[in-house]
Amino acid sequence: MSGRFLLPLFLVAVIAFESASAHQPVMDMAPRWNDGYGFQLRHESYGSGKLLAGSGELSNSNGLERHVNKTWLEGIYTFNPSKRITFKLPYVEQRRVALVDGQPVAQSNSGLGDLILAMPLKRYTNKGANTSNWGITPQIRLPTGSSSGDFAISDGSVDLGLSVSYSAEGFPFGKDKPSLYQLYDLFYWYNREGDDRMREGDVVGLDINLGLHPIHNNNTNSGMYLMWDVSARHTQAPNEFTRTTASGGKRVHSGPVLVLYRGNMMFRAEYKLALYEKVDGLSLSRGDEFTVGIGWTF
Amino acid sequence: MKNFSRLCALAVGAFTIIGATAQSLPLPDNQAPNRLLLDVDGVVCSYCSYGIKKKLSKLAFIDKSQYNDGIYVDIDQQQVLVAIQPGQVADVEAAFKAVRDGGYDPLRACVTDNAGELECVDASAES
Repeated sequence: MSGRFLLPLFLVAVIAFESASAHQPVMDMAPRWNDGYGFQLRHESYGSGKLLAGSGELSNSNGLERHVNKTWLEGIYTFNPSKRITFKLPYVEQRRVALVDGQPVAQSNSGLGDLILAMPLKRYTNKGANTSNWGITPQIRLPTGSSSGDFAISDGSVDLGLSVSYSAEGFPFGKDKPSLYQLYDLFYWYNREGDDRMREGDVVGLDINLGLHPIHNNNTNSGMYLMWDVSARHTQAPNEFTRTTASGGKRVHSGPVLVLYRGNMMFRAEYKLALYEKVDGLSLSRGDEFTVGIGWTF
Repeated sequence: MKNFSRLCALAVGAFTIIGATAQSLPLPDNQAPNRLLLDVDGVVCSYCSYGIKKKLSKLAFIDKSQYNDGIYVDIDQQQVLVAIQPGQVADVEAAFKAVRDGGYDPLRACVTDNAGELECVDASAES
């Protein structure tokens, strides 16, 4: 493909994936009691200066790069273990160096992002030393973020999502061994057309968390989980009018997750490496992801 | 390949920590007088079962001077031990309801009274 085609494609598709984290606050596990509520602050960071064509790396002589930081305020109310409502509201700081008329230009933007509301519906099964649940979560993303500027935070659309999940914790290795926690979350985001004819591509994703609960102390209600996360995404290419971070392609990120808890407080940190990326056309790699969060339930 | 190597290094680090860990102390004095011992299906996570503690702690007969506000959740044995105030009678039905409201399924409750006498009740018989 010649440079004449690659350049405009790159300018349109400039960089990155919309974060479509399907995990519901607060940390999937709680609150699971009647009239429970909680909130969480979560910071996620990703970005790189690695230029990709498909899954191959290109020379990045213009110094193109993109970095995104999002700080999420997330909340949950549990009517009963089967019925919950949640919200997620990000504050976004994003910057990039993009090619404009053949010249590298620094662009940045910050502000509130799009509000995500969801209604997780769960069905629990408790049996002996095992607990598990199936969940289905309709979600809606409202355009509370700004869609103005060369590097818009939002495309200004109302988007719809659906997640199907299963999580469980038990003692498959024996009760004298650490328990095993597992979570599988398959989700789809239908991204509708927003302002200025912008339309980000639909996203289908799968999140898997597998881990052990090797430390706990019944006396202090505290402990630690060590997990491994695998996040796979397939994103349709956004249309030519889209000025957000959205871009099309496939990717798999994976890495360790550390969870610490004490009483009603939980801390979670995860570092995920970009194991596999295949972008549509030319795009920057999403890069490695770092997420840290702390939440309380009541 | 570089990413894979880093991934392996992270995995080795994570599971080294697992090998260096230990479990918590066993259930304390559950045969002592003035105790209510609840068998509860699915209690394997302290953070998740915070609701049981929250709901039980509202019951008037609990002696909050013991354990954690009167309640000890044992995620190794799927049991919840409740300290009863001396002279008070444990309301077992209310305790079962508190466990259900906390998101779990109670199986059985055994009450050791002031004189050390033990009496057990199945949750299915109560509901």
